[in-house]
Amino acid sequence: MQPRRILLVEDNPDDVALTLRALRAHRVANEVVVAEDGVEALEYLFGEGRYAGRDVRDLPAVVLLDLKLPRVDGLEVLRRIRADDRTRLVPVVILTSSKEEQDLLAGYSLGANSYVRKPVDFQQFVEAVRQLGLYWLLLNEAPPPPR
Amino acid sequence: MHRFLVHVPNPGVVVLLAAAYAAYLGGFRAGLASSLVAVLYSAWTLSEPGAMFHYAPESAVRLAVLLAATPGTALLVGVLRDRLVRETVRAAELSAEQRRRSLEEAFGVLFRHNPLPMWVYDLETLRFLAVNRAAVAHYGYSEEEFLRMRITDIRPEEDVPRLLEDLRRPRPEFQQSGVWRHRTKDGRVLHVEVSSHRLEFAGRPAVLVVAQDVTDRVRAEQALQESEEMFRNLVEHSPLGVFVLQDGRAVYVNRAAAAVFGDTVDQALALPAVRERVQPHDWPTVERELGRVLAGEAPHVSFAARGLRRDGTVVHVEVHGVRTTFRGRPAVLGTLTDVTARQRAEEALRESEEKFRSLVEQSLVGVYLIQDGVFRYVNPALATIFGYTPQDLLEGMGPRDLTYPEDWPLVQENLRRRLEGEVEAVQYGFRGVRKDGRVIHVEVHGRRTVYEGRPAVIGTLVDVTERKHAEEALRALTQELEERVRERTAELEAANRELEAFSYSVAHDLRAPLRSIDGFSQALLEDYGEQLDETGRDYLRRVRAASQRMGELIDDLLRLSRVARSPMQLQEVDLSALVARIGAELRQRAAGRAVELRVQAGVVARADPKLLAVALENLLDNAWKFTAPRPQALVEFGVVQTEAGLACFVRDNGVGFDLRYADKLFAPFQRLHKSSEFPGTGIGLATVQRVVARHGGKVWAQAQVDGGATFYFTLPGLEVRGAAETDPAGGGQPG
Repeated sequence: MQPRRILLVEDNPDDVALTLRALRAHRVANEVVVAEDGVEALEYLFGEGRYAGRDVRDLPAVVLLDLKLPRVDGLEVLRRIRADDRTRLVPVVILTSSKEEQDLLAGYSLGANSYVRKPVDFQQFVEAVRQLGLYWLLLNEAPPPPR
Repeated sequence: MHRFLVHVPNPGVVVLLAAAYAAYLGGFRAGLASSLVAVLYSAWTLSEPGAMFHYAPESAVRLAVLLAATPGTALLVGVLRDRLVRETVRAAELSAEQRRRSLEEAFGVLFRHNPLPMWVYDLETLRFLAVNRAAVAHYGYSEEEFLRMRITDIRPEEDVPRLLEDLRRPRPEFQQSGVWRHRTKDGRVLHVEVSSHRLEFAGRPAVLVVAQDVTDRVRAEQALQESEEMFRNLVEHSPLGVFVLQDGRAVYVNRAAAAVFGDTVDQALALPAVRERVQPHDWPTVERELGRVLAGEAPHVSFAARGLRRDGTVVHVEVHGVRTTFRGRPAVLGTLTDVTARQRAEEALRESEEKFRSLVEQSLVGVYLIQDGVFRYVNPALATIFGYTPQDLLEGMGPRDLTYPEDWPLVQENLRRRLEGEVEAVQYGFRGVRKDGRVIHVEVHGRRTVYEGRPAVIGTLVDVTERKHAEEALRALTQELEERVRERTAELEAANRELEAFSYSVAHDLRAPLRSIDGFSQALLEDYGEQLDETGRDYLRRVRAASQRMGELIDDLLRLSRVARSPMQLQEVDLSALVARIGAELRQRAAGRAVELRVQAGVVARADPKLLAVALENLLDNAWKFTAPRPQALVEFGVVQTEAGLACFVRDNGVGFDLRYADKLFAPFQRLHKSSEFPGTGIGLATVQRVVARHGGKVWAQAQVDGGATFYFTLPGLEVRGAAETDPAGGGQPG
C-alpha cells in the first residue's frame, strides 16, 4: 500500500528544499505534496482548482502548515480544515519561525495538533509524529541509512 | 324790862326761854332737863343763895311757878317741835317713796327693755334671779329657762373654772370684768364685754350684769390680727427684699433685703445710713429717686443701682419704691431684687451676641433669616452676593425676589419643609438672580429655627458661581483629556499593532534568510563535506555559528519587546518555587556542571508570573553562565533588607565584573565580557530591568572582578512566608 502523503504548505522555496532534505535525510518515505500558498492547499484538500477531480477522501497523513502565506494565510487554512467535516480530523502541525511565535500561537487554540520549528526541526518533528500516533505511518519504513 | 335787858334779866324768863329752846332742839325731856339744870345752876352761881330768896315769899312762889312753868314750856315746845319734825319727816318720806317708786319703775323699764342683755344673779347660788328681754333674745333661752339656770350654764365648759375663780375674788361694787365668752342655747359662742354691779336683790346678795356682745368686734380684731400675721409672714419670708427707709436709714428690712447686702436683719437695721450700702457712683441716682417719692413728686419709682455688700463686693439691685407713712412720718416702702446673676447673664449674653453678630456681620458667607416669606435678617455678605444693600433686602424683599424663576419651586419646597418641621436642616443649591440681572449659582445650608416665637428659617449661603464655572471648566477639560487619552490610546494601540506586525515580520522574514544560510551551510557540510578541505569546512561552520547567533539575537530582541508590551496580570507568585524550577531546567541543560543552588523558601510577591519567569530565567542563566569557571559553583536566591526596602537577590560566586561599568549593565546589547569567554546577546539584563520596572520595582547589582556578583530587585508585595532558610532539595550536587 502506497504510504499516505504529507501535505507541506510553504511558500519559501529554501524552506521547502531544506524540509524535504530533512525528511529525506531521516528516511521519511512518504510522498510530500507541496502547496505554495493557502489557496493551493485548500484546492488540494477539497479537490478544487488545479486539483479538481482529486479524490478528497484520500487525506494526507499530516499537514505541515506555514502561517505566513500569500493570499490565504495559514490560520485561515487551518480554520477551513477544521470547519469541514471531510478534513476535520486531519492532523495539522504548524511550522513556526521561532519559539516566540510558538508561544503566541499556543494561545489561539485553533485546533493545531502540534508545532514544529522551521525548517523542520527533526527532533520536534519526531516528537509531534509520535504524539499524533503517526509514527508507524511515517517513520518506521527503512532502517536509517549509513552515515 | 329795860333793866332786865341791861342788867340781870329776869331769871324766870331765861329759864323759860332756855327750856323752850332746849325742848325745841332736843324735845320735851331734853328741854325739861336742861331747864332744871339751868335753874339750879343759875340759882347757885348767878345769885347769892340768899338772893334767891330775897323776895322770900315771892321768891318761893316765883320759884315754884318757875319750876312748874319750865316743864310745861319744855313740854309744849317739845311737843310742837315733835309735831313739826314729824310733819316734815312725813312730807319728806312721802316724796322719797314716790320717787323711789318712780325710779324703780323707770329702772324696771330700763332693765326690761334695755337693748343690751342684762340679768341679775345670786352671788351665792349663781342662779339667775332676773333676765331681760334682750338676754332672752340674744341667748335663746326663755325667761323661765334662764331662771332655772346658773350663770355657769351659759359659759363654754372650758371657761367655767376661770369664772369660778373670778367669783371667789372679792368684788368691788362695780366692775368692768372684760370680755368673756358666752354660749347661746344653740351652741354659738359669743364674745361679750361684761359690766357687773353688786346689789341686794330680794334680800339676797346679787349681781346685776350687763353683757355687750362684741363678737363681731373680736372677730374683726382676730381677722385683722391674722391678716397682719399673714402679711408679716409673707414679708418676712419673701424672697423679695422688702424695706422701709426713713431719714436715710432702714427702719424695717426683711431677711431677703438684708441678705442681698450680706447683712442680717439686725445688722441692716443698725446701719447708720443706707448710703453705706450703695456704690458711691450710684448714690446720686438713689438719693434722687428716693427723694422724688418722698416728696410726692412721683407715686412710685423704679430704678436699678449697684449696691455694696458687707464684704465690699458689688451687687446689682432693682428697686421699686412707694411713699408710705411710718410712725406718723413719711417714709419709703420698697422692694429690692438682686439682679446680679441676671445682670451677669445679660452681659454675657450681650457679649456673646455681640461676638456672634460681629462674626456674622463680617462673615464672607451670606447669612439670612426668613419668616413669612421675607427677610428678617441678612448680613452684608448676603446682600453683596446679590448686589443689594442689606437695607434693600430688609425692606420687604423675600427669597423669591432673589431666586431664578425656574428654581423657585425647589427653593419654596425647601423653605416649606423646614418651616413645617419636616426636616431640621437642608443643604442644596439653586440659581439666584442678582440685582443687575446676572444669574449666579448659590448653595445654602439652612436650618429651622424660631424667631420671635414663631417658626422661621435661618441659614448660610455661598456664591458658588465661580466654583461651578471652574467645575464646568474642569469637566470640559477632563472630557478633553479623556478624549485625548482615547486618541492617544488608539494611536498607541495602532503603534502596538504595527510593532507586533513588525515583530512578526522580523521573526518570520529576518529569520527566513538565516534559516537558509544555516540550513544550506549544514547541507553543504553534510552532503559535500568530503569535497572541501578543513579550512572550507571551518568557514562553513563559522557561517553557521554566525547565523545561529543572529537567530538568538532576534529571539532575545523579540522577547525584550514582548516584555515591554504584553499586558500584566498580577497575582501572587511563589518566587522560591519559580527559582527552583528554573534551576532544575538549567541543571538539566548544563549537565556535568557542579552548581549548588540555595533557595530561600516562602518568598512570595505580587507579580505577573510569565514576566517574572523571564526575568529570573535571565538572572539564573547569567549566574550559571558566569560561574562556569568555578569547580564548585554556588548560586543563591533569597530576600534581604536593603536601603530600598525588602529586596530579592540572586548571588553567584562567579567571575563578577567591574562595577565601574555597572551603568552599562542594564542597557540592551551592552556586554561586559567577551563573547568568546561568555556567550550572550547583552539583552538579558535589559529584559530583567524592563520586567522589574514594569512591576514598579528597582534593580541593581553589586560585584567585583572575580569576586562574584549579586543582583537585587524589589517587587510589590514582596514577603517571606514561614522561616525556612534554604532549599536543600535544589541540591548542589551534579545531576
